[in-house]
This record gives sequence, structure tokens and C-alpha cells, in this order.
Amino acid sequence: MQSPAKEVVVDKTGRAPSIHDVAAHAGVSHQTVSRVLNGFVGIRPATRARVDQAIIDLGYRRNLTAWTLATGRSHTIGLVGPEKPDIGPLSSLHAVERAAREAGFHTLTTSSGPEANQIRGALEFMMSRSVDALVVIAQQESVQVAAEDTLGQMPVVQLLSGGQPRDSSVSIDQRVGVEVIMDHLTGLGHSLIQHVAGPLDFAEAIERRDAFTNYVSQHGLVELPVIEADWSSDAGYAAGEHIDHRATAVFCANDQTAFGLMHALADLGRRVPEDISVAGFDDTPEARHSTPPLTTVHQDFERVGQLAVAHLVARLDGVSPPSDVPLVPWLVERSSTGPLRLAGARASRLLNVRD
Amino acid sequence: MQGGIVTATRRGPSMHDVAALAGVSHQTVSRVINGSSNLRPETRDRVQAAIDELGYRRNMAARALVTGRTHSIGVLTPGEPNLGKMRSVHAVEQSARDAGYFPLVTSAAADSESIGKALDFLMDRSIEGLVVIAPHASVLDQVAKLDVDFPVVTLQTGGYDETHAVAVDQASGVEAAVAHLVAMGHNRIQHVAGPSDYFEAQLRRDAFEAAVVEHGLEVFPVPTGDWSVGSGYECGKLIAPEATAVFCANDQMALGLIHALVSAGRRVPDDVSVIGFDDIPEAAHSLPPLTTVHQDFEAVGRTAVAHILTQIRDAPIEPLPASTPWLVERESVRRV
Repeated sequence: MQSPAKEVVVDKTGRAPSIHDVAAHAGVSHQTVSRVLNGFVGIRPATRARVDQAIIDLGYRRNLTAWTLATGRSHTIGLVGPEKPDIGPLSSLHAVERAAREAGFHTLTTSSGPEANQIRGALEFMMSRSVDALVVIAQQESVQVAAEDTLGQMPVVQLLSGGQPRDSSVSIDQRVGVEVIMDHLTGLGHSLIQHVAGPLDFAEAIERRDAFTNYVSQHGLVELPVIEADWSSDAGYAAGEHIDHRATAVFCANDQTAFGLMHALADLGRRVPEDISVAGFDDTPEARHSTPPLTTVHQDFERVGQLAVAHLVARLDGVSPPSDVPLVPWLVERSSTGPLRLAGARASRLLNVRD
Repeated sequence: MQGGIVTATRRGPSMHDVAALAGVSHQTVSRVINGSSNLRPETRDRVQAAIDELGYRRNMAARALVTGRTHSIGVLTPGEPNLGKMRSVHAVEQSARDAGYFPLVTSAAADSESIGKALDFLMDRSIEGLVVIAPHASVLDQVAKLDVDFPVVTLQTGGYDETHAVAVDQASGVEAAVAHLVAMGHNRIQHVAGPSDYFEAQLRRDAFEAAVVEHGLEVFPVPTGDWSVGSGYECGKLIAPEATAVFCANDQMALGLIHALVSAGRRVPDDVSVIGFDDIPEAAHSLPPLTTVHQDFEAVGRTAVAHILTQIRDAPIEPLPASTPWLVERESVRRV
């Protein structure tokens, strides 16, 4: 076994310089030092250079072997994902894996169904594998409850949980995402917009649905029934026959649903976007190449993964985690949405409906 | 704080802590934990009270030394994640859970050193069996060096070794795709290949070239993508004007390719037929819906886990037959 002592540089007080000493020397917060040490992007080069210089001046070194021996840490982050890996969970898990690897951590992933006994079993199993911290994809309430019960035992971050709990989750602002899509559609003249929701026991499906209905009532748009689907393109296809004949635009809760819906609309002889506009949510790689290419909302899963790891590393280092302000998604405008057309029979039918 | 007094060193309480609190030896604690019947009830109660008070969590690695059972199956996925790997991993996870095992998945960079380290890391986690997604020669080389006493199964190797490779018969899938195009009157078929360092990409390409010879088809250059929809779009720009059909090495590249063809004014399937490979859920809903070859990832996952469980139980193992993929006809192929 390596001797940890010989690699630690000790200052004249007889104490190895700490992360706080580096922070004081560089004139930055200890969180910033932690982020530099853990290789995170988004730090100004001048700041990074100051921290690097302080590290050299003080001979600071976070010796991983010593750290593991002293703390009993294994340098492993455990990930618990859902049994059915949709694009959001998969992208988030991969982003966490990459960020963890960059920060010098191993990852171990397991998966579980949402039933309380299943998820508790998976969390117990993961904690017994000597992991230092956990990332839990907590889309459903049963998973969130189980994950919160583990909080006293090790640092835990929840993802895709609708931003809950506030102090230990990393999230993307779903309301903003829905608003940018709805602003885009209303800006094109649409006021008859229907929503195909995700499964309504998923926090983010609920958030998107609520943001949609709030927007509709606040802007005085026509209320059309919300159709519930299950994130899959098959369910999007099935939703096609339930689209209200008055709707001129459809906002789907994810891209997969939108692909299936566009297929159904094509089968029904309705052109996208000439007859009806379709928008998605996520910005999957396929969205750029669907027929037509899909207007959607980009969720930055890479950043979610980086922030999740930054949060856990800060907690392990005993410093306060970076702020938990939700990330802001953005509109990606492609060809599946277009201006409202009120031509010929369709226009008169719409006008009759409005009368 | 719930469940557990954590000592100053942030280590969880150990079996020795439990023994000290209960005033018994650690062997006694161990016997209680492992359900030994030869204990006085009051001793058992005292140990259980100490376990509850300290929030002691049984270390599964230590327990495994005693019982030999951890009920976990390790899975290694090297390289960048892609849909094919993920579907295999998902199928293995599902089958492992169904069998009462926890899947324990770790990833690694694609180089030999990272793969070797990740294998060591998993083996330190007391797994009872190991599934390695081994699409590259570099991964198989590391697997070949393993000297372990638990069962190992490899996936996505194209079936190079029937003692531990669970495979889908790539050649028969390609033959089904090409035979379908030929039956629909095509003899100018171009192939878009996957990255050549993947066994399955190379096998599909080899099988395609063999079919070209067998059916006496025209020979075209083979653009190579990286499995992604974006690379399919780029390859789509390279399709020969005289080709009447394209066989893509996976569905995602086929989706990107269709976008490129349509953007260039070539209709699918009216002007060019397109066929994919995999049958991803979105293939049923692309425009036009994609004709493709279905790979049964779920069956592969079940077979892999069953093969491991058979060996754990010391039952006789049988050679692993490759599963046969099948053609799924949709609307992206037209008769000429």
C-alpha cells in the first residue's frame, strides 16, 4: 500500500495546506477552488490561473490515496436510474458518468422500478457497495420519498425531480421551457394549442402540463383537453386520433411523442406545419432530422450532470454546494412550426367554431 | 439525520463497533447477522439492539466472504454510450432484476487501460457474474486476460466465441435486408457502414459485400458513419445518383440519411428506397416509417443472464446459439 504521508506537503504550522488556505491565498471562495480542482468548465481563465498559482505556491495537494484512507471514501458515485430508460434519464446518467470521470470518480449504476420496495432495495444495495455519494433519477414521488430518506447517510442529489428537494436537486426550469414554446406558438398566431402530456405521475410531466394550462389561462387562449401519453413515440402516434379538430398547434411533452404524432397526422392527411404545427421538448439528436425537422426546447443534460457532480464533490469536501438555481432551457426553432394559416374552408370552419 | 451514527472519521459503524456496544465478540455479531441458530436469545437481542442503535449496515462485500452470495451482476459498458449498447445494457438489467439480482453497471473509456481498471473496479465489488459489452477488439483483449472464478458473458462481439458470447447473427440480418431489396427489383444498392472498429459494423459490411457478389449487384463506394443520426445525414450527401436503394448499418443513420435525401429533392421511397438495422421504437414512426431488421435485444439480455445463472448454480452449460434477426417491412422500400 502506498504511504500517503510523503505526498502531502506540510507548511510551517505543521499542517498540510487546506482548500481554505488555497482560497484565501487566491482571494476566491473555497467553492471556486473546489470547482477548479474538480475540473469544471465555466470558470474564468483569470480566476483559474489565480487558483492554480495558489495551489503551486502553497504546495496544496488533494492526495486521493490519503483522502480515501483518512475518510474511508471509495471515490465512487452511485447512480440509480429508472428501469425504463427514456431519453432524459439516459442523457442525464451519461452526463453524470462523464463529469464524474473527469472529477476522478468511478461510477456504479443500477436501475430500479418505481415501487417503494424496489427503489428502497436499490438504494440500500447501492449504499452497501461503498459509494461516497448518490445521484438518483427521481422522476416519480415514490422515488423522491425513498431518496430523501437516505439523505442523512451520504450526499444525495436528485435529478429530473421537478427541482425537489430544493437544496439537493439539480433541475432545468420546466416552466421557462414551456413558456418559450408557447410564446413561439402564439407569436406565430396560434391560439388553439393542444398539449400531449407525459405520464402524469412524473414530476416533470406534471410541471409541463401545469405550466401549459397556466399559460393558456393567463393568455386567454382556448382551452382544449390535455391528452396524456407515456413519453413514447407509439403513444404519440395513438394521440393523433384524439387531437381536437380545432387545434392549429400541438405542444408535445417530449420529442418522441412529437415524432409519433407527426406520423399520425401524416396518416390523417394533415400536413405539418401547413395544416398544424407540432413542437416537442428535449432536443434529442433525432429532432434535427425528423420529417419535418422538429421545433423543440433544448434541455442541457450535460450541464445537469456537471452540476450534480459539482454538488456532490462540494458536499464531500465539506464546503457549500454551488447555487441550486434551475438551468434555463432554450427554444430551438426548426420547420415543424409555422404561422397560423386561415385559408379557404379551414378558415371558415375555425371562424364558425369561434362564433 | 436518519439511520446511522457516523463516527468522526465519517466511516460507517463497523461490526467491531457493534460487538463493543453489545459486549460480545465480533464472531458473535457475525453469527447473528448470518442467522446462525446456535445463539442464546438474549445475546441475539443484545446484538440486534446494538445494530439498531448504531445503524450498522451490513457490508455486503464482507458478507460475501462468508456466504459467497452478493446477488449482483456486474455490467461493463466501454466507450461512448450509443443506443445499441444502451439497449443491450437495459435488457441485461431487466433480466437480472427479474431473476432477483441487482445489475451493477460501470462505464469506461474505450482504451485498454481504462477497460482493465474498470474490470478491476467491478471485481472489487464482489459480483457473482459479469456481462461485458464488447463491441471492439480492444475490449475483448482485456476480457481474454481476465482470470476470474465467476461466469463472464460478452455481448455485441458478433459471436466470436460461443462459450461466452451471446450474439445476434449479423450476417443473416444483412442477407434478409439485401434479399428483400433484390426481391423488390433493386440491383443498385449502396451501403452506409458503421465505424469499422465495431465488430458488428464490420460484420454487416462483410455480409453486405458478400451479398453483392452473390446476387451479382453493382458495386458502390461505402460511406462510413459513426452510428449517429447526424453522421447518417452527412453520408446521405454522398449517395450515388444512380443508386436506387440504400442499406444503412443502423436505424439512426437511416433517419439522418432520409433527411439528407429529401433535402436534396430525392423522395423516399419513390426515388430511393432505404432500409435500416435494429428496429428502434422511432423506426415505426419516421416519415416514411422505416423498413428495417429487428434485433431482439431483450432475448439477448435474457440469454446472457440465464447463462450466468446456470454457471452460478453449477448446472451444465450449453453452447450459445446466435439469435436470428428478422425483417420488419414498413414503407421506406418501394418496388422498382
